[in-house]
Amino acid sequence: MHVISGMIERIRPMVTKGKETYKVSKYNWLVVKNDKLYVFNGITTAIVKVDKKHCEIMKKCLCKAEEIIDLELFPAEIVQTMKLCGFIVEAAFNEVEYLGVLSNVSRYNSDIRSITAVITTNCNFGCSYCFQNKEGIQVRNVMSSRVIDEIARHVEETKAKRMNLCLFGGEPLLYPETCVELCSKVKNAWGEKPGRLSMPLVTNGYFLTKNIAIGLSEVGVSVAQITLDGNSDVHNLRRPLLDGGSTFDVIVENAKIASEYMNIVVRVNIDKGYDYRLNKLDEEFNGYKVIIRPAVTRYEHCNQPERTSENISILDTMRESIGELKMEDVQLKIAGCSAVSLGMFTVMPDGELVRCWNEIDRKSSGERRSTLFDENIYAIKNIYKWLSWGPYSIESPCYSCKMLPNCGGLCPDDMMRKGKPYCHVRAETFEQAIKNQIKD
Amino acid sequence: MEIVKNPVNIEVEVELADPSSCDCYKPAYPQCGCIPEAHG
Repeated sequence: MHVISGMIERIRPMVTKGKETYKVSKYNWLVVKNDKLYVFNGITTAIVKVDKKHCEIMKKCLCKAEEIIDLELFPAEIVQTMKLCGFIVEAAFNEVEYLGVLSNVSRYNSDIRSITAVITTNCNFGCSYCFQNKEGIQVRNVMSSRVIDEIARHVEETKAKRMNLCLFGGEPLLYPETCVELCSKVKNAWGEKPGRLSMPLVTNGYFLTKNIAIGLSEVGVSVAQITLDGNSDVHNLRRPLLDGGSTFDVIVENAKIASEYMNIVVRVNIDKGYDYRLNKLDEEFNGYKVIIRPAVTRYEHCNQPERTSENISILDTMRESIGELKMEDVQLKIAGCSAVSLGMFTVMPDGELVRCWNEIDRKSSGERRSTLFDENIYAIKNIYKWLSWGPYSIESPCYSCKMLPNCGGLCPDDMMRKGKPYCHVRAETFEQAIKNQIKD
Repeated sequence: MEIVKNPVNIEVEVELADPSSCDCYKPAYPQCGCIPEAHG
């Protein structure tokens, strides 16, 4: 009773008798492009161009987050537009709580299942910055048919309308027959179910030869992500074979051929001190169905988070300068990472389950991890730490961030381990991304 | 006031349902786009 009456007391001053009371959204951005004022809202992602005569009042009112707004200052049609675009919201409406609820709806939606299959943690590469494969190739470290059959059984039994199976490692194509066996069984298990099954592959590309690409494509693998760290000099230094041999030429050739059978996404890891020469890579793949995507080289596993932060900054600046800011930066992101969703899990080669890809090489802290063979692989108790995480509580460092609706709090693992987010986009870059949405 | 980009109807248009889906054609990534280290 006390709590409820307290809440009513809190809301009451905002309510004016017989009149709607509105406050300014927390997520309005006022940007100027070509001398014109635009307003963007992070939740609705709407953009409005403001008439000259209303510029001053809009500037004055819409930047005061959560303040009650006097609607009588505006013509009725403008009030209507502001409501429609989410620039103003009902006074009692808590936008952060709303985002949290949307996030939960998404996390517990049983229509989606997402499995990452770690085919092996072995790898043929000795990348300078990789957190895996420090113990060399281990013979028994490959997914067994028993584990594959169990994954297929889950796929067969699921009532989900969308199934995502990601082949991951280590380097999964060290064992192409295992990849084909898994995809083939999962494809059969999915059968004629209504909905969509997708099976992406994350590989270093060295073994993605024509025959393997054809074989994988035939069992339903429609996209592969490979990695090139810039031009051959840079790449070969950073991503050599275990014996130090170069890999660039083989991967490029494979990617070109494989792009005839599946979509290829090239990840380029950005790092301080390296000339990534993205444009040269663009030229290399000119005319092929290959998408190039820069990303950050991370060093948290080496206890050098400051290097990660530096790289985030470099990527941020680079994206701005090469016009790489895309729709994704200003979209609503409430689903967050799949590691905090009930219907997602990562299967290790022996059937052990982890939530996050970062956990693949992390030793268990003594607690028994659940396995694919457990009676209830979705047991909340085993994963409550992940499910209970969220950036929408008042204690979260993201709570007051204006970019929260459009980033979703980023990496839960980072936040849980370090207590702070590694923000990928600065406010200035975000503003630029909004401007890029405006075609004048 | 001219609407340059329409508001999304969040509960209808936005794919609340798919935490593993991706915004810009990067299906191998978690939605956040942060893949562990430099994998792959």
